[in-house]
Amino acid sequence: MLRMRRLAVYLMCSVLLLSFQNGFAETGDQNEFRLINDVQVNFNDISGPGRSASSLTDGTTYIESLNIYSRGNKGDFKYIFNLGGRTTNDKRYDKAKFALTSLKGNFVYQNHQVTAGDIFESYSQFSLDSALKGTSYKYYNEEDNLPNVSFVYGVAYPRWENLWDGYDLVALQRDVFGANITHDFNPVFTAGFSVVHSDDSQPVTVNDALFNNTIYALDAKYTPIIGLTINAESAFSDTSENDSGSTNSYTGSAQKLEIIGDGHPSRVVLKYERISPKFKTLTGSAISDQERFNSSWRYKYNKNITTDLKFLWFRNHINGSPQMTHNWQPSANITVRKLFGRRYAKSSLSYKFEKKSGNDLTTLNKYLTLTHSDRYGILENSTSLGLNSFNTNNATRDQVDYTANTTFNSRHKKGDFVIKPMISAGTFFYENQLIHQTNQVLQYSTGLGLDIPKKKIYSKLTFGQNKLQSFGQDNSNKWFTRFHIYYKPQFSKYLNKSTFSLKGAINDHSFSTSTRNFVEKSLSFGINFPFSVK
Amino acid sequence: MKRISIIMFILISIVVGLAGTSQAKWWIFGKSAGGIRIHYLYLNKVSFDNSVDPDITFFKGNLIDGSLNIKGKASVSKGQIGSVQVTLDNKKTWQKAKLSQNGSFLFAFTPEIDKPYEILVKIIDTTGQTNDVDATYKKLKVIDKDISGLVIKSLDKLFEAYQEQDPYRFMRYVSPGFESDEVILDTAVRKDFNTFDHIQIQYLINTIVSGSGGRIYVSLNYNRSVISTKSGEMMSDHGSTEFVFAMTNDIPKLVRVKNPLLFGLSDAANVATGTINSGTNDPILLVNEYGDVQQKPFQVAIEIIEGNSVSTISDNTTSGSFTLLMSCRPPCNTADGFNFTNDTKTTLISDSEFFKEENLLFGHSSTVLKNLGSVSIDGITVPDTGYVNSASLNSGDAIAVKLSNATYGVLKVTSLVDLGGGSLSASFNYKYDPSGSRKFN
Repeated sequence: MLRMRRLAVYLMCSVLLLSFQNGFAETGDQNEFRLINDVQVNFNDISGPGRSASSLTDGTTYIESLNIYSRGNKGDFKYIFNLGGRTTNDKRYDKAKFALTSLKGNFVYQNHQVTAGDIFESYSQFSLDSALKGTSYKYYNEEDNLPNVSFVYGVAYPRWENLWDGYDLVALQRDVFGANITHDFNPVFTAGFSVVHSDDSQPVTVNDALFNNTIYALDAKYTPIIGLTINAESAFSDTSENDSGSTNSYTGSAQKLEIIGDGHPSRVVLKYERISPKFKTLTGSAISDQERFNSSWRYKYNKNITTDLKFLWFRNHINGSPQMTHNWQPSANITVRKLFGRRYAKSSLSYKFEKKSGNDLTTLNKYLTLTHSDRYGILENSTSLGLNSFNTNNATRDQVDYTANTTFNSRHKKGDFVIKPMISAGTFFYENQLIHQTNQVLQYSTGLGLDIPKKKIYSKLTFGQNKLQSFGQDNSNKWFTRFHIYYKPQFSKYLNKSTFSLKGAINDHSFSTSTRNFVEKSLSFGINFPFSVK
Repeated sequence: MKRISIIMFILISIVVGLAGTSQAKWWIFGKSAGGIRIHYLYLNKVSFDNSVDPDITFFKGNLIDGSLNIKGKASVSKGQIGSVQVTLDNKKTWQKAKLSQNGSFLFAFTPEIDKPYEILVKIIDTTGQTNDVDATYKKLKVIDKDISGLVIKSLDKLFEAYQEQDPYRFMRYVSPGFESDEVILDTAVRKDFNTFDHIQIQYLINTIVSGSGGRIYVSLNYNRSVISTKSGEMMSDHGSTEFVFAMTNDIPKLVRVKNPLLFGLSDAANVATGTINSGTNDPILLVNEYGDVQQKPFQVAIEIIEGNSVSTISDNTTSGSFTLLMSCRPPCNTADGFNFTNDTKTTLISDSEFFKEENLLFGHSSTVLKNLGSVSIDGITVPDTGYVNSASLNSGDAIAVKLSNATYGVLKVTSLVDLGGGSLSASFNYKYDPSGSRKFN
């Protein structure tokens, strides 16, 4: 395994070096080089007895990111190279002071493609659809309609630092090997077969279960007539799980069938998925032990009226255990534009119903929402009203929510200036009917945007309050002020998309228990400059 | 299962039946009045009928050799297809496509960046009849934008809508093909908005990688704080998570989220289709069925989300908050209580490890308690002796709990509310260590 991994790392490095070397191509070849540098310096001041609750880091912090991108060709060779790194002293954001954020080389020669570094292969939903650090090879030949063949090897680490255990950013080692063959049998029928094997090693804690997993998946796409598409996938998994010294082997299966009918004025989707309790995918995407069916019908009655009807049913713990739950979620939505002949009016009414039963509990939730937006002279308004209820049969939850939000915007041009005032208010009542108590959230804000498009200056200042009155609990109150200024100067043809930014915010949090109070003041200055040469 | 299979069979039969007649109003596009039938028509791999929206945008980086192909096949009931022509400028000029005997045709061209193309396909049979040319209209553009920039824009919009608790705006950036279902995420996010106030999330991108299927993978670090609308408590966490986006009408939209979740925590078991490979065990936020917000070490949280027993985890403290309302009623087998081992609130005394009776907590199953007075439970070491069967409840007091298996927990009474008529609501923060340690961080 170690030799295999070393070999892959050598191969990866070779491809990356080769692609980088090709960045210095001879005259006549087309090449492009881009560099994007982003610097941000933050000054945060957090004061008050409850300052430990702040999610900001007190003091001065910086984040510097650099990305290099190169693309071009040398004869029949085409390449893409990407390298990115970041440095920060803000430990809340990242433990790593220096981080490698991207490293990728991609080579195409005739019908062959090799990618190394950050790779993201999508074989199928259940088999492989994850990012890896590794190498992939692909053969494709559409002209002669030969099958596409792909091989991949990589380690499923979320970041490069995991590879060398930098800054204690350790993660379990998951080696992944995969192969896929996909063929267009004819223009309306395509099928693919994938085999993906994952092997875990080097656990981080004694509680980490180690998996040895192989997935065999067959997927197909069939378009029998224009407007009708059928997608299907069937997968089988063979898993060996080593948990605290004891090994457990099991197999599972997953099926998916999706039928899409698409054409004006309707779009209909029917989808069925069944994932068995013991189906395990470490590189694909699935919720084990679940069976699900959903249908949706979108109908455009005319240019202005659209209806959406959806029905979802699913159950978990499908093998009849006492924990089995059945879930029903029907929903309906109607959107009407140009209501009463008003040019900018748009209204929408939606109702969702959610019932979950099983495991000695039945929950019944309902969501009703009405939104409306329109223009009234110089004012634009957007308003939403909501009524939600949450109930359980065991008298643990019986709750009704009422929400209302409205925002007024306007835009005025005076010479070179564009002035954009805004006012917004919202409230949320949360009534616990079990103990007849009501919590209330009230939020309002007002803002002023000022842009000078000719000078490429864009700014906005917002001020507001958010109050939570919590029955029998600690009440909270937040006053906030935020502003930002963006300046996009044009220095030269190479630096014509640079952005200077200045952002500031004051959040004053106070609670009934004054020992929880704190104030956050932050100011951040940023420069983003892309540099490109063709 | 049988019932579902029957429903599935009926629905599929209806769809196939409608398709078979080719008269379903939704997809009669392929059959013109003149009798020319288009079997398939693709622009690269994009079907001409695949979307109601006629605008298609390709990213230069996704075109391997920079060229685009229009591929199709047509037939006619009587006679043969005579020629196929393609316009790239909305009928101003027409160019001939390569046509085979069997009616299949191919037209290839290399588009210029940012230039709009208005494409129509005209199929003419040997009698001079044509297809419904206007039905093939597509507006095409190839752009040279950085996909990472577009993904960051979508992420910003998602976080902005989530922090402002606007479900409509949020769902605009979620793909209809969201893998664990768009409807589940929508209701879960609405429950989040009921549960949280003052949502603040800052993020920092680690990696963005474009995939082979047009998908985009994003790994990021986050820093989050919320206030529970139920308990009024401020809670925060930070860590890493992953998203996958897919392009829908030129906008990257969310198709997959993994644990730890930033959106839809209220139904984490049905929203996340996986868990990141994380080496850390830092606490993350969890929301239960009743809207209570808890903070649990990463591994414990994942065990709870995936429905496995937490008792297998031996060296992690669990923590969170709960409220007890109902006191014991004759014949006294029900009362609100709590079970540390299963980390659940209970209503049957037989399921509890301790339960509330008026302004007292009583131990059950040999559980004993000790009131420690008004002290903080952060960094506390609870005593190993001096426990009794009950402890009185006073706001601000800490109460140590010793279970029959010699493991310890600690409670902090955050509020006591007299509801009248002798009824009392008591809220607690708690910590429990299944390893038997008496020290709590």
